[in-house]
Amino acid sequence: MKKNILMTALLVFAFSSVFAQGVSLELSLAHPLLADTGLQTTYLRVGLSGYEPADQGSRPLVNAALVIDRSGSMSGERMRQAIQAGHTALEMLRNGDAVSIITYSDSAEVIIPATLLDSRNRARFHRALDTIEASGTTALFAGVAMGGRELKTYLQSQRVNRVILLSDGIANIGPSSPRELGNLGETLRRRGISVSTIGLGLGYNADLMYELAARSDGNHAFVENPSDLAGIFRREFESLMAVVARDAEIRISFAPGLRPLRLLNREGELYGNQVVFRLNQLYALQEQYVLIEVEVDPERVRSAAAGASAGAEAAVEVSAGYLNLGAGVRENISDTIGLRFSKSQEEILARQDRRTLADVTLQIATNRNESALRMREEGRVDEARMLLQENAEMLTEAADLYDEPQLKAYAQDNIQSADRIMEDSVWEQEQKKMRASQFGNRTQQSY
Amino acid sequence: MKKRLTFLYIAAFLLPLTALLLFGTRAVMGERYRYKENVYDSYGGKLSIIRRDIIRVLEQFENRLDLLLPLAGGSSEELREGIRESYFVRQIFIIDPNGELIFPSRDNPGNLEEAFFDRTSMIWDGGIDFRILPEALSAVSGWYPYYEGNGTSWIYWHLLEDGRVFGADLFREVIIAELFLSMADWARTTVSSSEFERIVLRDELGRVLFVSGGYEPPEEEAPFVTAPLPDPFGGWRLEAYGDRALFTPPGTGLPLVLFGLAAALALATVGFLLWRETRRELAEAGKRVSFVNQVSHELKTPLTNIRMYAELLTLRLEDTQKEHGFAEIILRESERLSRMISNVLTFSRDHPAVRKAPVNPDQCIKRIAMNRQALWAASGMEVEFNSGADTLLPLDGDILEQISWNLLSNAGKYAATGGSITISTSFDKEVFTARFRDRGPGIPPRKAEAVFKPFYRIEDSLTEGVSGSGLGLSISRELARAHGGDLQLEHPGAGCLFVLTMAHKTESDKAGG
Repeated sequence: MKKNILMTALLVFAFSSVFAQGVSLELSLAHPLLADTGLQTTYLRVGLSGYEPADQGSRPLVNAALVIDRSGSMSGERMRQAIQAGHTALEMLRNGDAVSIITYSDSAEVIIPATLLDSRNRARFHRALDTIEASGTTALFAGVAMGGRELKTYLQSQRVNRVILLSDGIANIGPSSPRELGNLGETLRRRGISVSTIGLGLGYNADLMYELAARSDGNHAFVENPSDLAGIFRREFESLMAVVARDAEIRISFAPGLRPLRLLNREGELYGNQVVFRLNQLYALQEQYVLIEVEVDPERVRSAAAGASAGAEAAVEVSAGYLNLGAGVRENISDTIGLRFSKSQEEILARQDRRTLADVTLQIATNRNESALRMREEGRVDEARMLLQENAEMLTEAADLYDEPQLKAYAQDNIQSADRIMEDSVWEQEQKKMRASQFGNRTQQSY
Repeated sequence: MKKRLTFLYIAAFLLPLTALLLFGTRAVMGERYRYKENVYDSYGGKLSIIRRDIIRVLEQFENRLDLLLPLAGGSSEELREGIRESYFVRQIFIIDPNGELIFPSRDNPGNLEEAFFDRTSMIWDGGIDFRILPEALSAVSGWYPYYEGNGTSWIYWHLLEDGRVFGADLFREVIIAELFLSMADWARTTVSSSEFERIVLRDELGRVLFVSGGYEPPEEEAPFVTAPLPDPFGGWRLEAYGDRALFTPPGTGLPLVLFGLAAALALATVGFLLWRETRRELAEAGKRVSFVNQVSHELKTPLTNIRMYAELLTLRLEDTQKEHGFAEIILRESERLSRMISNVLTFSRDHPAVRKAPVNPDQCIKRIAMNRQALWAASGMEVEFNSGADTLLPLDGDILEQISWNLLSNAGKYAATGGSITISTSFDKEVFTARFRDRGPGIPPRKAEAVFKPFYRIEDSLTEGVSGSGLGLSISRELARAHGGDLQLEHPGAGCLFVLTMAHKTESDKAGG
């Protein structure tokens, strides 16, 4: 009984979270309590959630660029559905939103330059969509670059700026590697632009679409059936309209003795005992988190701490700055979480944060899933299969241990993948599915 | 003759045609050359505009980078924040005047900084000293390209006043994106999206970075203009491809050829028709000549027989016999017939044949005169003869007789009122002359030339009822001219004076005769 209360208190202490009027910041440690000797590893989880807007109907102004692949492979049903999806997107946007439409094949061209939507020019946008015809190669880089440029016109802080890229094929003109498109995504994100990538069919480069979305902090979706396109566009625009804060920069400062090793699921900067990462937007009532692997050196902690008592605490300070779209001002919230040491193994185990550990497992499993995918792409099919099976085992164990059904579901996915990557006929499909779920795991994408 | 004419016609046709083809081809070639030059110039021009735009993009980056220079004095944190705020800078580094790297720290680099060291290891390990660059290049700032994974990346360096070097490693993707956007703008404002041309920007590995224009060159086709980009885009190049059909100026090739062919055809046709006509005429003429010869032979043979037997009769019969008279009439009339036939045949001939032989012209004329006198006995015409050429001269006796007969016949028809006709002959070294003077009404001066035209007959009361073909004078003149002389009409008072001249000395006579 006492233990439970203590545990609860510690849990509450560990799970300290602060609610600002806007965004909520939640910190947790996988192991709030660690042994007081020896190097150990734990994980810090930093979660940010957007608030629920006071006015249910309000939503931010949008600045969107639709970048549509019109290479030869898009001809027929795909083009029709893409155009239909574009119509859907336009209908979801309101007067005052800024839209531009770009198509790309051998090169990229602006069909409609960035324009503020009003009741009179909507028809023009719809008509422009209907004129799109498919033929040529795939200058994807050029398309994204042009989309980015069109967004500059209304790149205002109060708007949500997004490139929505649709592609069904392999980029073959201009920079075409995942790394190059990822870098382009990075430069866009720094300007406050995210690129959501929608891969259509089985012929697109999933790595490229993944990298571009990941580095720019956009969304990614795999649409196998052209008729599903309109629905995906709808989800994307819903996500756009759920943005409540933008341009978040999160700084994490670790006390001496705590060394951040790596970020598990996002890009970020590591300097000594500092971590900086950014999120381009925060969504209403949706949490995005980052997991940081931390090496703990109890001796170092103690020597650095003012007091030399056994209960010395190592603190992690987290500060998040963001633009609150509702308030129209930049706000900052911060919090601290502390690490303690114990000699009791039992206590340490009892205090483990199951949810954080579940998330850690998920991210580690996702990493391994990515490795397996790379192996399969290199032709090392058996190795890939084995890794996926091991992954599934790890996930199943953790699912039980941490009582987390999501892990069980992912275990199932891994088992399925292990089989499906063996068959050439479904490999392409499986590859894209794997990529999409990896992305979802990493970024906590809402759809 | 035929061969020469044919040759002439062919030459006449070929010459203008050749001239036409030559000048036409030259014009077309010249046109093509100029057009090709224009096309090259136009592409060269386009490519240099794009090059200029590319350099401008670089300058814009330089300007933006120079705005970051003040960061050089800040803390590591400020520098890192500066990098975060700049969308195109991947990493900043600062080198102190001694060549030491101040930022980032080599001992304790952040994760991104470590990645930076990895990809630029050739600079730090290879000992590239940025302090040397300013002096070597006589510039305060510049670009340093380095090769990394995907291709060329660029570092911008700037020598600060205190001797430190500020460096910025850029995202090559941003530079490529800006280049593309600048070229896309150019393409949109120029008529370059035609299906006949294509402009390609390639990087050092030959990879296509940007394409404008609808022309799709086949695999092996080389660009017809290439413009390498200046440093720091070494190895990058702009290429212009075009449909080779561009080198034919629009509208000149085929139509010109067709026109040339049509002209040639027209000329050929005309030439051929002319040639055919000429050949036909020649053939006709030839036929006529042979016909004339044939006919004359046919006609002369019976005539000769008639005259022969008539002469025999006159010889056998006594002068006093009536039959003698009949035979003489037969003789005279057959002679007359013979003369008339001669006239007609001569007229039919193009070129009267002239056969010279030693004849006594006076004797010839006298004989004719006597013949005629016999015919004129009824009308009372007298012939006076002043002999002045009673010697042998190389003349065509037949011609002389024909002409004399014609003139006397005319005199008898038209000048009978005068009562007499005087013939005077003379000759010199080259020419034999005979004058035929009548005392008839004469011929009005304005008709002097007209009377020599074939079929011409003066119509007035005098000549009504007079028979004749109207050929006599024209034939006589033709014969005289064929003989190297002429027949002229002179008017000394009443009556006609016909002067006949015949050349008796030929070139060969003059030469050696």
